[in-house]
Amino acid sequence: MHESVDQHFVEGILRNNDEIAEHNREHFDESGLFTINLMSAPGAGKTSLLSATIPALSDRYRSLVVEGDMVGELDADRLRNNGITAHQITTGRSCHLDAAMVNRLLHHVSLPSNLDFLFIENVGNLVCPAEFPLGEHKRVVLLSVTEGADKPLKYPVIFRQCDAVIFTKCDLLPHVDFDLAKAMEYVHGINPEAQIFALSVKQSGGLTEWLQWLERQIAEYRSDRMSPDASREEHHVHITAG
Amino acid sequence: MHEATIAQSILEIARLRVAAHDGARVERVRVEIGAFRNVDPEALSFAFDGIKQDYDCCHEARLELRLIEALAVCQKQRHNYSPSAEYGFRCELCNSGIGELLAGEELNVVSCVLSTPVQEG
Repeated sequence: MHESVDQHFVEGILRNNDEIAEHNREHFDESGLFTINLMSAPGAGKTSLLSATIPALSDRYRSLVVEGDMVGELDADRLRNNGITAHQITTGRSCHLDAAMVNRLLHHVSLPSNLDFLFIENVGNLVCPAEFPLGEHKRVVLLSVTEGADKPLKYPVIFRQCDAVIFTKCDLLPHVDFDLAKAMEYVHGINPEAQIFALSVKQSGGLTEWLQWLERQIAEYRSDRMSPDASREEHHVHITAG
Repeated sequence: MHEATIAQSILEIARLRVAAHDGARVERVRVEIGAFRNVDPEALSFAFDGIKQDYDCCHEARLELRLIEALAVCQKQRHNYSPSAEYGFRCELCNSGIGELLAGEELNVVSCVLSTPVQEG
């Protein structure tokens, strides 16, 4: 004899990921490491953007990259060839990074204590990464002008959740049917607060507004931190090998 | 295909619920999914049925999904509306974008029906 017992409750299905993401955030905050999760479809130009952004910031800020890819270290090697420190997470069959993958890396890599920016380049995908926060402070979505202006309407979740959208490869605008004004309108319908940049890493000066935004964000982050008088020297990274 | 990860998490939640009841099995798991989550119901059901065989207490478990439509408050005038791609997710009354989402971001297990043995005598 059996009887049915109906248990009612509300439990977040991805709570485990969210808790690890919170833990990652504590790691980042202990060392004042301002962390950005970069997401896009494959080939939108995340690695190229980082290859241009990090050297442009390097006279004032030290940056590190965590690369997420399903296979290999091609993107990490591209960055390393540009003198950028990059750690690879190879996800295998998984189409996104999750907080536990980032957490394992944080516990196995000894990070320098004087870093400013951590850029996490997620696996190229406009769907799955949106469901898995990593502990980042800001989320940035890239959309290349070769992809089509209607992508925000097709992938609203990721555009809803981000802080900034970058339209990349804008040097190609004369050659493609990408309606920049429409694309901006679509993004702002879903996420009116999103900051929008239109740029090309191949055009000189194209990064200026994006770089200024990054500098403003890290300045705000630092002024908002709980211990405004704590110097960075007192906040050594508590991440050690093993 | 993150639905496999989500199916696994659902089964883990069910397993913990059933663990408190000796000899109990999971009959049904009810899950709510908001329209503003990137979760495909069919893919989730498919993944759930494939993975449940790995959980002793869940071999017969059925997944019941409740889909929740998005409900937004528009940014400019605070109108309540149902955002849709057809209108660019904007408010049909004043054309402003989504200020906040009142519903549509749910991704929760909301109940488990357990089959528990009745003590005789």
